[in-house]
Amino acid sequence: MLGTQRVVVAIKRGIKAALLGLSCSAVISMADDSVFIGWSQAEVGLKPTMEKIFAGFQAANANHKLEVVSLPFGQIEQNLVLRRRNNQRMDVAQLQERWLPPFVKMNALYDLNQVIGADKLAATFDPVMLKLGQVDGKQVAIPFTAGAITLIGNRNVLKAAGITNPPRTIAEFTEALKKVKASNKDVIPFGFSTKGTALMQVESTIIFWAHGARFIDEKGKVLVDTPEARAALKYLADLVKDGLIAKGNDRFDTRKLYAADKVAFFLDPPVLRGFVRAQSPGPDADAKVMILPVPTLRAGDDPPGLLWAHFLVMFNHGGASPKSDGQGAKLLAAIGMDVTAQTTLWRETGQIPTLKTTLADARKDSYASAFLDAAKTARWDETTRFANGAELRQIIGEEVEAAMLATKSVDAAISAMAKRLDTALKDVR
Amino acid sequence: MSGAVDVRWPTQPGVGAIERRRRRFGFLLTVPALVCYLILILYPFLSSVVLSFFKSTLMAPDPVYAGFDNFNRLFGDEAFGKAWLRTLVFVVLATSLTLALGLIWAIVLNQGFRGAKLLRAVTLLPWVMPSAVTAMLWAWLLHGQYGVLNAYLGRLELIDEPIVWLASPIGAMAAIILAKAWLSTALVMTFFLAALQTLPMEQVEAARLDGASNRRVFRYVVLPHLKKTLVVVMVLQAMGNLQQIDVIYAMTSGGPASATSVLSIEVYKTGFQQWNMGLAAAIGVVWFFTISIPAVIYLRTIFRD
Repeated sequence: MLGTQRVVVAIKRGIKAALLGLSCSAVISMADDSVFIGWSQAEVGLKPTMEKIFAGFQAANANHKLEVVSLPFGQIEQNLVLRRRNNQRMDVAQLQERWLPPFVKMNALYDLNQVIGADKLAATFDPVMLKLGQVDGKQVAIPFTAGAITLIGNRNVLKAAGITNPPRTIAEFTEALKKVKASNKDVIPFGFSTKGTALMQVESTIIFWAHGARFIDEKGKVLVDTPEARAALKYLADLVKDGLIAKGNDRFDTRKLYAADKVAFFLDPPVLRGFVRAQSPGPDADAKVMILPVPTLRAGDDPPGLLWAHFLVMFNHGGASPKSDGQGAKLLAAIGMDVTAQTTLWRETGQIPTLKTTLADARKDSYASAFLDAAKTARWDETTRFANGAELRQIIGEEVEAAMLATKSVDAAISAMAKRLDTALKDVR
Repeated sequence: MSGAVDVRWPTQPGVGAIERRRRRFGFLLTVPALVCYLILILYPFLSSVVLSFFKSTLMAPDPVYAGFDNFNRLFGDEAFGKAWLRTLVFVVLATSLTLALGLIWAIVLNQGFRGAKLLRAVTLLPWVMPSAVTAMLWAWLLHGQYGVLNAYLGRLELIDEPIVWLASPIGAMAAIILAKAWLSTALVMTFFLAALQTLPMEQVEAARLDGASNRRVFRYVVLPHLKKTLVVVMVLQAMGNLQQIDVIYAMTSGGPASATSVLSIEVYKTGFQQWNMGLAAAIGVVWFFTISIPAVIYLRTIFRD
């Protein structure tokens, strides 16, 4: 009996100690630190600059511990949703524009007009940029950077191929790709992503728009089952078949190859500059970068582009809005509202700033002004407005991938895409 | 009841109580493991089974009872049927390749040549490497643009253009099978080597004296001796391959074009990319029953022995 009693007592003590330890660590964690979650600080082009910003914040707030959680871009949305659903600590996070709707629907984000103050935000940010982070009248996010995904050319590669004028129409673009391939078989003419459905969906959206095709309208009606969409997908599939798009690369692979002058054209947002500088041999990395309008079916059409923005948000853990002098708000301000931080990011990585003063400075640079011009005719991704946008994007990416890799015919892929999108949108229409 | 004496229950008064206390003490020692099992395995499993009968998505996180809707959707979906078949193909080929390589290597090492012990130790290295690291290494080796394999094939002038191994459905499936077999061969080799070392050499010598060739010795002497080990290893490998996700996800993420999207990947994609938790749980239930088949065979084999 004595032995049994001892075992029972030991088990009870063990459970009590474990629970006490967990609760203590949770209390300590809540009181004295902030958690930032993002991906930029893990990417080669932005890492050094982001680390400087965090170090500066930590130095200015020595009594406060900053925990920086770095995740790959493709894992951010999932991790944030899981952390939110499990009520794990998140103070400030970096989001892309397409991830805002599900978090807004979950009521997961603070209205930053209540935290920072509407007047202060209006005085700090460019008004067009600030509006990007508004949903239903609430300022759910502040813009960290914004621009458009557009066509990038490699000046060195195009010069070697004898291409002097950038292509304006799809026909001219195809000719340029063929010229590049003929001049050097080791260069990829068009660095379109053929690995990873997320990036394939993004880039194919631009090509579909260039062909006059659409996926979904604002009310959730599926619009993809059209001759224009089939033409767009056939165009991409033919480029793969003709060796003008290489298989097995995603945008991160393509950036490395572009920096090594192995890619002629590809689609990228403004953060490209940081990657090119970090990965190009030699001092003239910036000189090779050409920001071009996306080719269109007919000369004179508005070039399509995908509006692109990174935001900073504060997660709502219940209770009253945090104070403007609280640690979370200070962290948000240090990363997203500090002129020095934004200027450093702009100068070192090409990330287009969103503050009034820094944006005015950046507009004088041809790199930034080219991306900002592209943004004038750019649109938001059609899946962005829907809370199940992740599912819609996966469907589009999978069917585009299937057609481009010739595991499905173009007709079958478009039909399947339309059917699957329709099923997925039933609950949201 | 049959009249036989049950030696576990002595007839002296007071001794039965001692035995009951010993058993109770023994049971209490298993309580921590039981608690862990209940919390970490049984509860999540039962929750998943229950969730499979509910509709739970990102937009409607509070589960709503849906009956068999999730299962009807699964069994009516051609894509799910293809995923199940792909899983079968992966498991059969990966298991077969691992067993073949493990057996061949065990036979080689069993010859006892100089350096065999060192080779045996080196063979175990893949087994101790984290599987995600292994997957990344294989993905890098097979990369279309800057992979080592293409570089060597190009230098040997065996190919004119780089082959993008992971961009074709067959290439990608072959790559993950190869990577998984590379990871698991060490363990299988260890099992077979241990079994081979208990093979009575007199039987082999007797067979040779009777004029048996190597092939006949293997077929009629070695293989029957290895039969039980073979069954156990085959079933364990099949179960492990059915649960495989890290190697496949790290190498191909289930692509290209879902060519390597097996049941484990489908659960992940449905649950954590589409956020359809109810449907993901339903896939999990089907997956569980699929794994149960080799599990039952395994349990029957070991309990029979």
